[in-house]
Amino acid sequence: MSAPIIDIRDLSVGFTARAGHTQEVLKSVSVSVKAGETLGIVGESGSGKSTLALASMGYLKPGLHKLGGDVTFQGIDVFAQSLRQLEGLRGGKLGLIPQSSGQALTPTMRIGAQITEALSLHCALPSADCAPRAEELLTQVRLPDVPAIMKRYPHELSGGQQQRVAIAMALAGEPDALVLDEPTTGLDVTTQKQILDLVQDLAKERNMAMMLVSHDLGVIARCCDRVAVMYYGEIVLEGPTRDVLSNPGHPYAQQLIDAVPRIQKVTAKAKKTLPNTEEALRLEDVGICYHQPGFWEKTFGGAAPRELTVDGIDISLGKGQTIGLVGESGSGKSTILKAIAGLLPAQKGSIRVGGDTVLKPSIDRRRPEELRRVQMIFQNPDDSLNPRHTVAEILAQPLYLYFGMTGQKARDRAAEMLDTVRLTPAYLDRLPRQMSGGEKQRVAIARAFAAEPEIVLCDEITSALDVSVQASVLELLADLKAQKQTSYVFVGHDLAVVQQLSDQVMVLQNGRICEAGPVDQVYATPKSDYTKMLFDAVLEPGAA
Amino acid sequence: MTDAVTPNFPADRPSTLRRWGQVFRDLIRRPSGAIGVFLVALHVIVALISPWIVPYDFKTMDSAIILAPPTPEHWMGTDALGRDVLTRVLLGGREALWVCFLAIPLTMIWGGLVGVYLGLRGGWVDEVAMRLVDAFLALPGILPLMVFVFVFGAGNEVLIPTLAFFFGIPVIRVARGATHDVVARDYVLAARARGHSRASIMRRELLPNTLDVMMVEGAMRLSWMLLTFSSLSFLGFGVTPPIPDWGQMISEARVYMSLAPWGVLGPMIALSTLIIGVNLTADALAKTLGIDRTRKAVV
Repeated sequence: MSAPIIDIRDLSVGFTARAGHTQEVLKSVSVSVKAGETLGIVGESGSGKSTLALASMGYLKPGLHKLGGDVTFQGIDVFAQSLRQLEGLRGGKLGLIPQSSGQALTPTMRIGAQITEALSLHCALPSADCAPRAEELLTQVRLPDVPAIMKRYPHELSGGQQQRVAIAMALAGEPDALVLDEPTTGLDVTTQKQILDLVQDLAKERNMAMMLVSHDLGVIARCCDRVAVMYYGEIVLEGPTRDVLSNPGHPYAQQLIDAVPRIQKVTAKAKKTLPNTEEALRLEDVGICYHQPGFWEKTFGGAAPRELTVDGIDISLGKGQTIGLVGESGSGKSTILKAIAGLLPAQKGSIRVGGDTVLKPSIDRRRPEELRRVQMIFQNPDDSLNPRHTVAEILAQPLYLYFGMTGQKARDRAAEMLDTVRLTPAYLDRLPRQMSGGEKQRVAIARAFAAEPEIVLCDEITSALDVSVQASVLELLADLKAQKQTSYVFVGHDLAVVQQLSDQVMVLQNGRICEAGPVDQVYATPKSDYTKMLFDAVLEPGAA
Repeated sequence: MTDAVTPNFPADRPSTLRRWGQVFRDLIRRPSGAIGVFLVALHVIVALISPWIVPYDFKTMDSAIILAPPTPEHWMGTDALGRDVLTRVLLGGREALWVCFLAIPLTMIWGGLVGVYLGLRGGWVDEVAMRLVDAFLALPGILPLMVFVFVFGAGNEVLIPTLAFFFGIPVIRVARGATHDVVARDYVLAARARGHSRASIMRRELLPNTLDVMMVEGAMRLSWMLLTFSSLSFLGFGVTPPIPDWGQMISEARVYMSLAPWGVLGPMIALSTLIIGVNLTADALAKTLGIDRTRKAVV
């Protein structure tokens, strides 16, 4: 057995809380990674997994300090190093691949220049050799048309390409160990799969030790030899991935694994048939273009007709039913939601609610009563709730706007709405920052339902939430649907979640319908190659 | 899944006033904030009580002691007309503070409202308005002010609106930028999707969330405005003599600077400590509120 590359022993990290006592973020954590091995660190937000990963590089977020224990990298105590020595280590023998590479890359530098800079900092290469070496690295991370990529700026690359560039930069220093902090969060499933394949191959080739932090058990199951489950700053379970996932000995780990939605196998017999209900929403041949005609074009005309970003969308959704929209990022899922909401006026086709009312494309032309019938819930509750408003004020807005309720009446109604999303009236005087992500999303749901809508548009509403929270939010949505006969248009990137909630599903590719039908039919017998590819890319714990 | 039904934070929705109280306490905990607030408070207090504490009358001239050096009777000496410099320094900030403290809220309100509106409105209205703003910004700062004062006459009833108008123009730009940060957030999109009017979105979503930036901007603009006011006085466009003002005093005394340096030294120290105080406060306020001032274009 070789000695571990990264060895963390009894590491405790904390911050000094206001009252003068220390709050521990990591409690006496011990893990190690050997060469050629991949350790997965999994846990929900706030469990300390990122803190642990960054601490392995000798970095603590401002405000945190080490309370005890040691971190050694190849026998060097990283916390005993000077900043200068650490700088040599990081990005050299010890590489980091951050969560959103888009933000880690300097926006004003061309890709080639950034990699060359990393090379000149960490390898004693003569400057003439840097450019060819940079090209070599970019080829290794399987980027197409490397010379062209070298000349581009970060924003000209897709999320997956940016991640590849970040990997190439980490490889520039010929690292012996890589720390990956949620490397595929924010990427769609097919890109995620490609990135993980790439990282695994590189690790094998170079016999690197890897520490992979993720909240996604599917990712962990696919890549890791061993996994450590973190819960409130402690490692509650550690062991070979297969054992931990198939037979977790710890109740929290069990709960975490159970909460992961999985795609249900559909047998031909169990196929649900769509109940015939009244039509709630109908889209006919809807086409949307991101370019909206400006003042000039509206007045004088004459602009060349632009290609529609999304085209030929037909949806027919019954009362109390859900349609799931799936597809890779950029396939037009959210665009369709915005068109239904009127935020992005459709250029073509018609949108009808309740079988009779034709909605005007633009929100400015819709009557309040029409607006009330269609409500939207957004992806990230941190962003969709005004940080300066209390829950009571947030919920009062639709109540006032659509029903003219004010004062105590609105407050009572807001409390009722909180009750439907299973929060107590004690939340009324809370600000968004005083709530957890799941609680905030419940408030956002309550706000949408306060309008008593017929159609609720859900834009990836659980993707910012932890799996266990996601499960309870999905359950809540299903309950509300059954209670109020609301119809959902549900955009999701997680195929299992979409399956769980939907009656119909529509697969989108480049703004066109690729495949659509009852959910069981599409999941059991996908017809198009694109749909099959989407299903193939799904990672599930236990499937690997 | 268990439902978390009981909040784990105490319900303490700080009122706006209490929030700013807390911001102020955090502000004076910073060394720069403490020094800044101290200097500003000192100047404000002196300005408030100076009419009752000055040793001499500010208009009384004494031809016997023209340009006299500091003595026990005249701690800062006397000026070219034999007036006590200390008296005039103590009184010399009153006009500047009074005018600027009235003009700054006006500046921020008009510049802020227009900027937030343009940031939300966008489109050709925004485009045209911003080009007008650019045109105004291209004028050298103090020149249009001098023209206004020249045409409409000096005096606070002209100075306050004029200062507020010209200082409000760069504020439009800052408020518009701050609004762009907020407009992109989903809660504004959610409000639009619900069908709220523009006025309602401005009042409920945009103004509360741009307030921090505007407070810092206001503090910065205040120091500029104080300096501009003094410059106007220096050039003879501000306060009407014989009412003492630092800018005017520096202007008068600089002729005799080699003979009687105390004549310029007093008002200079007074003016610079006030400006430094306001600047330090503004910086500390920005840090306390977590606003990166280097990111915002200061025009």
